Amino acid sequence: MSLYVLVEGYRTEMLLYPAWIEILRPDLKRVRWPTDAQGLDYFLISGEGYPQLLNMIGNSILDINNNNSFTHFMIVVDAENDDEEHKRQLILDHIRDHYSDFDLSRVFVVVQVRTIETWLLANKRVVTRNPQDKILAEYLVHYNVSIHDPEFMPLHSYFDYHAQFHFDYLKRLFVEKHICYTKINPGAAKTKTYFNQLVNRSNQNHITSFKKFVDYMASLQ
Amino acid sequence: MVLKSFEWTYMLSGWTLNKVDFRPITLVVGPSGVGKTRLLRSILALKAIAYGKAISGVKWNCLFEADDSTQYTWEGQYDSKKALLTTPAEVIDEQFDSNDHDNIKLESLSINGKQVIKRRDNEIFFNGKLTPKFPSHQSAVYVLQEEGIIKPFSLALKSLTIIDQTQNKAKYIPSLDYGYNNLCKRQLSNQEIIKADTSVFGKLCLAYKNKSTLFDAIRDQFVEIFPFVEDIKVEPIEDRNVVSCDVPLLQLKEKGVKKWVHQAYFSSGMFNTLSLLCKLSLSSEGSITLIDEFENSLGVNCINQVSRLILENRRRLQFILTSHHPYIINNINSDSWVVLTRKAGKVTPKSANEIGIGNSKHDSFTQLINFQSDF
Repeated sequence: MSLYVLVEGYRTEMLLYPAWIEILRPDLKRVRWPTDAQGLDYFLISGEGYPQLLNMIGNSILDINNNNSFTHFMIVVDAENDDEEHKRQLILDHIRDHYSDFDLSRVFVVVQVRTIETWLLANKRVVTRNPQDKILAEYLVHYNVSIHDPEFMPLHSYFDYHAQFHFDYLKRLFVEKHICYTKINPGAAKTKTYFNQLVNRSNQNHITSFKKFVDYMASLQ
Repeated sequence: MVLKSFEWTYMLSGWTLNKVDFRPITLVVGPSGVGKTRLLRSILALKAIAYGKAISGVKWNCLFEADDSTQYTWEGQYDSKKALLTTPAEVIDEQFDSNDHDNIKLESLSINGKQVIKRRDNEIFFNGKLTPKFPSHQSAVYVLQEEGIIKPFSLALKSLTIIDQTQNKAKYIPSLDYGYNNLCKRQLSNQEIIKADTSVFGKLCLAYKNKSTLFDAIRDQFVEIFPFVEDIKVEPIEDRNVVSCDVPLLQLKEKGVKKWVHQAYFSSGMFNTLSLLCKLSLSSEGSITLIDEFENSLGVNCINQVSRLILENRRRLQFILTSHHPYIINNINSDSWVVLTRKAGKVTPKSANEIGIGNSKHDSFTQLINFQSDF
């Protein structure tokens, strides 16, 4: 069994997914190239954003068909302003329409609702009750992510996109705690402690899209 | 002549470029900060050494091959007693006119494996014979440049040019060029224009002045890339308030616009495209051109056409390019790539094959990005 992973983002996902897969499935080894996969291996590649990711599905399928070890194909996308199921269906329809020979039962679409930072906001330990940062205080009044499910947070009027808002929210929470967080250095978010906090939260019926990823990884045989 | 391989060390900082092999067209790729620009600047430093300049603290080894397959292996090393801890490029700029030079410690030039220059400190042998003393900071290739067997090599080194995409357009005034001034007084054939001892802009002016088909070809290619341009010319401008002498300047005429636009007002993309067209048509055969960040200032309307012109070039010209652009990376065969990797101060080139490009069905650019991601 080998897993082929195509993620939408270039930076954060390429760093966090290997860290998370190592925690969830230490038996899976990452390979540099798809031709290297042979047993319990996985290959990770960036889709260089959306909709460019759609253009990369075809070549990913060629890679998968080129190596019999690949049994599963996981595609990770942001829901952004879209509905989770609608986005999932959009990806599956794209595969059905363009690559009809490919068995859809091998495909699992992880829809990050709304983006990867949304999931990271679910760690209650990073939330400061009375922040020094006035904008952060405003965000907490707008929607307190330690109480409510970050996946349902409405867009703040400062922003046009959920992803921008959630990134800024998370970054301000981290600054308040003197933790470094950038797209290319998600630092603390890569740790097992942080990951476990997200799992705890997902067990409380929050960030359910994250839970689907965790469950899928556990189910892989 | 083509540059076949190159090695360079800057001893003070320990920056080392392991041996890089080149092809007629070589695309140097790798993440920002890996040393792509520094590689080009270091190659260009060979030219400075060939002109008699001293570059403290460097050690080099390079192999050039002439059209008749004659191979020139040149290696050398400067002392580093007076060197500053700066990059070689900066050293070149700062020390060009300095009197306080470091000396050449070692130098050797072999032609087809036979050592013709052997130097250790101030003792120099040329063809096995001890030469009279000459300045210890100047390379023997410079001092002996007029010797028959050295001359072709010296000329090849001097032909090295870099297209700097941030170049100041106003600098390109051919009448300030001695070679141009000498040649503009008489009628020249196309071959004489190409071989003229002047810059490519000087040659473009000569081509215009001589009503050469070379100029027509460049104009036609330029107009094909920029269809809103009607014509180009190289003449003094009429507005005497702008330039107060009879300096020929590049000018272009756009469709539907009455006045000609002169070179200072060209867009960077247009100017760089024209520079490249001139290089392709007017450079002497055997010349070597270095282009850093090839895609800079080239818009979507010209990047593909300009890349195609380089790839389809059938004259004996060598191009060493750097780029981050997917179009260029995907369109230059990965066999022509040099992928730079770096560990601390040691830069090691790898072939696309060595890093595994080709092991996925994704396009070459995607595979390169994948290779560069943390693993």
